[in-house]
Amino acid sequence: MEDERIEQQLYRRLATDAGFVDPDAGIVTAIGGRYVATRSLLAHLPRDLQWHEAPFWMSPGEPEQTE
Amino acid sequence: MSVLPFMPLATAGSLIRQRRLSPVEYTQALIDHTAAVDGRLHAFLMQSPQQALSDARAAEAAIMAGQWRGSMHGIPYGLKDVIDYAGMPTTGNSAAIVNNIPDAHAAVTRRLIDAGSVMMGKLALHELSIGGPSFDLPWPVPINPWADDHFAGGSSSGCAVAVAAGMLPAAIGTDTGGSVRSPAANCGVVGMKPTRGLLSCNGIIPLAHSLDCVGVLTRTVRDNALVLQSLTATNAKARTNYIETLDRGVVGLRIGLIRHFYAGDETAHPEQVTALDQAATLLEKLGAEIVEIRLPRREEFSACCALILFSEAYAIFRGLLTQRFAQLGEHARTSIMSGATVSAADYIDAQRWRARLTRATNAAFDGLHAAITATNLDPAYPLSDSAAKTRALARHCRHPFSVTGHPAIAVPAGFSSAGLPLSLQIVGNYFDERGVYRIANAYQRATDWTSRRPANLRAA
Repeated sequence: MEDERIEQQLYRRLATDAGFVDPDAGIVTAIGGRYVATRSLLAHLPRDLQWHEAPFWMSPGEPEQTE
Repeated sequence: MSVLPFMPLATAGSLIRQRRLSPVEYTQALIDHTAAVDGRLHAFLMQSPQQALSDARAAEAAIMAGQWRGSMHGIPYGLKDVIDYAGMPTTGNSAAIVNNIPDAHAAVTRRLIDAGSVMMGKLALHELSIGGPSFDLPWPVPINPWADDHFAGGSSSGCAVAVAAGMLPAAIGTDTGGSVRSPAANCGVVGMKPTRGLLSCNGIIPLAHSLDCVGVLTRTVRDNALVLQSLTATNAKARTNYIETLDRGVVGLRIGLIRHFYAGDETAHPEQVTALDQAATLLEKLGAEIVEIRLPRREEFSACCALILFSEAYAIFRGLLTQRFAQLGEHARTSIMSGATVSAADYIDAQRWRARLTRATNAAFDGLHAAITATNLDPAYPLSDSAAKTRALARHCRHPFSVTGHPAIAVPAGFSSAGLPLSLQIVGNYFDERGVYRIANAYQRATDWTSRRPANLRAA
């Protein structure tokens, strides 16, 4: 019950932060559903990403190039 | 029926050059054919017959004056309705932006105009290129020409339907998470997503800036190469000419088979598995060396792709989402909203993960000329089957090469027992589109799938 209340608060906060003027008009439910969906995607994220691993456009390159 | 609607672009272009086919006659034949079949198929959002006939007359006059501009001169084409054509609405099939009229052409449109091509109109799509099919949009859902009431694939749905049904020899779409390759596979046509960055996305409604690509749909591989060649004519990165290597066959080429994508991580429709295994065997008989390779699991690529796509789409459309919430269709609304629930740190992590997945793919491609795998895991499903729609969202092999940016082409690979198209995906090394075309052309020439026509092209 407490978990559900916290989740509702989180979804309402997300809806408000996203700029929806009426976060109760079905939007809280919708954003809650999307929140759950993206958590399942994030569950695939590797846990062992290292400091040096960067997105391709900001790659530090090979070690010899940065030393 | 006139032979013109299904005439290969290469043939039409050659006849036009020799002044044996009038661009005006050709264009009029396609306008008439479209009028006969599109009332039921819904490929076009907007036709532009006056613009088309004006373009065709200009092309004819130039050719008669000895000013032939290349293989696309006098050739009709259509644009997915996220691609700007100055003065014509770019709606994204969304009520939220239905009055958006650009005052300049997209970069790819400009190339086609410079090549002397004939603009036939704007083509149907999923709203703003995201998700679908949806039934709450301004225009109806396109129908697969191969089977009544079956999904045409998307998001470049109208492009594939128009090409498959003979309304156009070529269409220009966009591919962010597979939006050219999906409809190409479902409709039995050729769909090329070139290396990310090869073609400019200037003048196109974006979906995800780091994933978006412009793509080409045609009925044959040769036609596809001709269109891409005209689009890259002045691009220094493009290793043109795509045509000169097209007929060299596959003898001595080393091709990776990513079988675990369709018969391991998850199992494709049995007829799709058989078609892909037979394609590998055929390429081997034609002289290629087939080597089974392993990439990270397909689901990892898809999760990474979706996180990046949702985040970037939200960054692009969040203003639209809040200001015109009720005007967006439900699917686009909820898909875009997903990005609001991904933190900046999660997005950066997804991009770091993407770099790792790309490195793993490049390592597996080392020493290979290309790789092959499935495009979709299943043939098209009936539009009335909502469970199949949900299932199909995850059952395909398009996301890996959206994530890595490799060039990838969907090529017809036969038909299911229900008469629905099956598809092979061929993936090349970066900026080696001509290697991809070479293999695809060898495969297409050794099979007869392209010679079949949708049987039910009847009037509405």
